[in-house]
Amino acid sequence: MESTTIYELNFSYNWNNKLYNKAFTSIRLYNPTKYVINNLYNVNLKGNYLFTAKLIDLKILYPKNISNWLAYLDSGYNAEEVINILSKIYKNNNDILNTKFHYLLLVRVEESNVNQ
Amino acid sequence: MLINNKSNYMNTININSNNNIKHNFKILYFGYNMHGKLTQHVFSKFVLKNDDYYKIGDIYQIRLINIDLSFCQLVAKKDYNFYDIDNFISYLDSGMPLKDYQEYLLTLLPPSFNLKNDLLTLCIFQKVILDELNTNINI
Repeated sequence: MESTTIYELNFSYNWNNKLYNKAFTSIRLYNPTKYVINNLYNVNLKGNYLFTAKLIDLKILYPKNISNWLAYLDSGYNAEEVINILSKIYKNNNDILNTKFHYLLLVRVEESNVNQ
Repeated sequence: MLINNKSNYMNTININSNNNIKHNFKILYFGYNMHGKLTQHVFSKFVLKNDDYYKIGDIYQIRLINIDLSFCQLVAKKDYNFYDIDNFISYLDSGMPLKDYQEYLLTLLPPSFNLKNDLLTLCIFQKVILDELNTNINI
């Protein structure tokens, strides 16, 4: 039986309550090794496992291009506030607006479907 | 996701606040809570483009089937052609893949809707708490 690598996707906060949904997004530092379409992720909130999700789609995102609707649906805050949050999270980054991120679209998978 | 394809989906509700000030809010109808999105602070809804009914800053009463939930404010919107909807939008609005979502939309759109020329609007609503209001609601 072929084993499936399941990566970890950690959240410190359930922004916009999005982790209650079937589908949700996440903005992560660009990492083409970790973020590949169809990869599976253990979604953890404050260190506690919640569920497994599959990466359905992804885009390259620079914070300077974050729109209000993207920001609101991802975090519950507008674009300016999201950029401020990213600046605080990555406080050693002096050029957050031009930093390369991944914009991830994830969907919950039923446990029985994880190995399919 | 619910398309406002009938004029009777564009109604208002009168609410009296504690100091007897009458508020008139538009109603935002949902047939069901697709993929749980109404638990979010901010959620989306696709509607037929109608800039008179959907104005940024306006307050709406969320009505799920026949139940009035909380209030929300329209904070952002963007017009879409039917064929420009992408995977991100379809999943975030409905929890469905794009193909399924477009098929679903086709069942809701009015016959007169022209897929190539007419526009849909993706509205972004943020829940708001109206502290000054009580539950004295007159429809």
